Amino acid sequence: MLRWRLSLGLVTLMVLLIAVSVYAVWLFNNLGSAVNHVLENNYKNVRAINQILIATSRINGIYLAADAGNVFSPADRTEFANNRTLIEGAVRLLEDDAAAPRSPDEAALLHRFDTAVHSYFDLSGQLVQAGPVRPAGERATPQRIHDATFLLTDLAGQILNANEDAMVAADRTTRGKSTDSIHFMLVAMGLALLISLYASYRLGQSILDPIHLLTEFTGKIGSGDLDITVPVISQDELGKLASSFNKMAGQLRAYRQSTTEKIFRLNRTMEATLSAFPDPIFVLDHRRQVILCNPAAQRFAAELGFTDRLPPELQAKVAEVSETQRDYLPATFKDAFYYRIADQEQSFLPRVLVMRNPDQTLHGVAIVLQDITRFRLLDDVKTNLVSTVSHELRTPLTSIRMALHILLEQKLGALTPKQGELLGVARDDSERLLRTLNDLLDLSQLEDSSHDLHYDMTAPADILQEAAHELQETARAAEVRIEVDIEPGLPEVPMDRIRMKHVFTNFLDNAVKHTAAGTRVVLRARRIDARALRFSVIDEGEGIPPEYQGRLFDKFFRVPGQPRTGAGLGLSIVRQIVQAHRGQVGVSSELGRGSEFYCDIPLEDGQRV
Amino acid sequence: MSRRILVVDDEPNIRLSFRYGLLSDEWEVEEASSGADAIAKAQAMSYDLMLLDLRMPGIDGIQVLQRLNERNIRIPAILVSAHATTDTVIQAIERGTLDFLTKPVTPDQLRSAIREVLERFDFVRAREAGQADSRPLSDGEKLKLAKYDIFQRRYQDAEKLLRTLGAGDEAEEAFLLLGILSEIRGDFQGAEAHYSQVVQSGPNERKDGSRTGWLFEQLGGE
Repeated sequence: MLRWRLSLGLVTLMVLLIAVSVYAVWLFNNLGSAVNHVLENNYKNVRAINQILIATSRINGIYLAADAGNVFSPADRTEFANNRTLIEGAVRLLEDDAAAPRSPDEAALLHRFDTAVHSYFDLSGQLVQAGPVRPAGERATPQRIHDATFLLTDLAGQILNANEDAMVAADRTTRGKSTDSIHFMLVAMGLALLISLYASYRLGQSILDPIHLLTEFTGKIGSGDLDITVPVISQDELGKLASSFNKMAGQLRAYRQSTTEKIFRLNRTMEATLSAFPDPIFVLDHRRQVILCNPAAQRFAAELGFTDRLPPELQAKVAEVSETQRDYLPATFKDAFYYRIADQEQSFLPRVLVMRNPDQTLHGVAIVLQDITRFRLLDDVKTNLVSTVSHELRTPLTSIRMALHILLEQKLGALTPKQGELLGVARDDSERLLRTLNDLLDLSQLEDSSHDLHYDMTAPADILQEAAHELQETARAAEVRIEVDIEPGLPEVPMDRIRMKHVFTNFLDNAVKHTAAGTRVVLRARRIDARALRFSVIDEGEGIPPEYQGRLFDKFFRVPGQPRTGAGLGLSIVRQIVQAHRGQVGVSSELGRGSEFYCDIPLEDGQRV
Repeated sequence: MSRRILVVDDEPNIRLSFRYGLLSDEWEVEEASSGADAIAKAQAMSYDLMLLDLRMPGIDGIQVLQRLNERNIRIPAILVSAHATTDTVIQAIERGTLDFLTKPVTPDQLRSAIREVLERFDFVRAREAGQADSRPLSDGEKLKLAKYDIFQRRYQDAEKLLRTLGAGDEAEEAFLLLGILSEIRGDFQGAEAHYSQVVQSGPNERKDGSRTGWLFEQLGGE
């Protein structure tokens, strides 16, 4: 635990501090009491010696007084006893003090003092015992007392001096002790400082090192090196940080792994797709250098013998697309490029696609060379289909028709009526076959080439009149009257006149066929809105059952129960023509009342829009 | 005197039916089964007319015309095809052939087409032989002469004649031919101008503006 480690570091310092403080307190205390002790002892000795000196002088006073009067009053004796007690007490005090160790000089001094005291008391005791009278001639006694007192006083002085010396010595000792203590304290503080410095250094190291390590590894991860593990040295918070860091790196690794795998898979998929793509694909960067091409493109390049530079016409397209930043997506064969590959001319439709960065700037271009050789062949086949089918069907039909006609001409020999009848049937059906064939070919041509319409601005009246004119004979034969009804002021309409006339003649032909003699058929042109005109052919015929109306314009559809007059292609040809004009065909009919077939033709043709 | 007609077709059935269709004292029919055969026969013998199939394996109808031209053999020809395109028509006219029949034909159509062509050449030859009277030419006659000029590749003469045609069916055909001649010259704008004149001339029922329309009727109609 980092917390414990931090606390431990601080606790060490605290313990050191406390230890030094306690020691300092003890030391000061110790020094103080030692000084006190010395002072106290000395003071006691001084007092005791003073008492002894005072008591001695008092006793001496008694003596002097008694000596003068020669009488020792009982009061004198009491005084003497009291002072003696005082002196003895003081000597005891001194000797008590002497219980403490002292120098031999001191002990000797004390002993001498003790002896002096005893001899003083012996002398004075003799005096006191001697009673109130001092024996004559005893003049010498005061002298002896005086001497004893002098000795005593001298010794007391010496003791005091010795005491003073002891005090000075004690003072010196104490002073030395305190100096030692200061030195010790300084050393202790220095040690504590060193220890605390070391502790804080170690502590910092133990915290900062993992952090530095983490910083370093974060940098490494940042630069993409995910395959590293931070060593987990401790179990504390930093250790946890390191292991969660490792966990994160692991997850990043896993993520990168999965991302890499995804990208790898995507790449593989793309490569496989590109490889499977049969058309050459080139990818160019923004400097127009080829950066990617599929196997088809490699073969293409190898066949044409170019390496890094595309053929000039392709480069031109790439340049165009790069400049305009718009895809080039040609759709017609005329935009194809032709290359000779494996001794065969092949056509390619160059699709150039812009690849953009997320910020819409040009990232490069992709060129897909769509191999349209086969399509072109198919298109050729389709284009040739009409001529092929025409040839293959019309040629045999020619012999059949010729033969039937020639036989029926009877130039090669007379026919029996039955032979004639049979051949007539055959001839009629060959004619029908031819009509159907022609219709089919017309239809396929129309479906193929609706963009080949030849537009002319046509007055509605003109074209309807023409159609009416064309059907005049048929109508007359059927005793049907054709009327043309044009709304005044109609504009000219862009239309392919021949094909549109076919539409109206077809409508008219049908109308005439399905109308009873004596009725009329109306050709009408009306404006239906701003953009289109409606051309109608209206008859008063039997009408068309509603269920069939929707299918009238379908190929090969015939209203059931009606005489078979054709292959049922007429109206689908009509629809094809009208749709090529971007118009619409329709019919409205009521049984027994008649029908209206109409087509709506826009006023703007497909080319102009 | 019967006319010698060469029927060129790779289909024996067609040759047979044409032969029977043309069975009369008027015509003497010979057959060629291929383009090469036709060229060989035309070099060996003279013919008054050739019924030439357009689509044949090997040398096709247009190539036969081309090679005969190269050999300076001029035989009036009718190009017979199941499906002729505009380009084919122009190629044929460039090689001097202005007459087309679309399969399947009836014996009547076949015979009348042959008669028309022969009659045209007869007229021109008679005129060239100095048998013509001095009366002014009709539009029909002018058209015949112009067609003969085209046959002989005398385009300027043909155009001069065609421009003199006024109105009616002949004028319409004249404009078409002028258009095609312009196209042969490579003058497509002039061609378009002539084609559009077709629309404005002729009677209503044949007011087929575009060249395609005309060819559609010429080649595709029965």
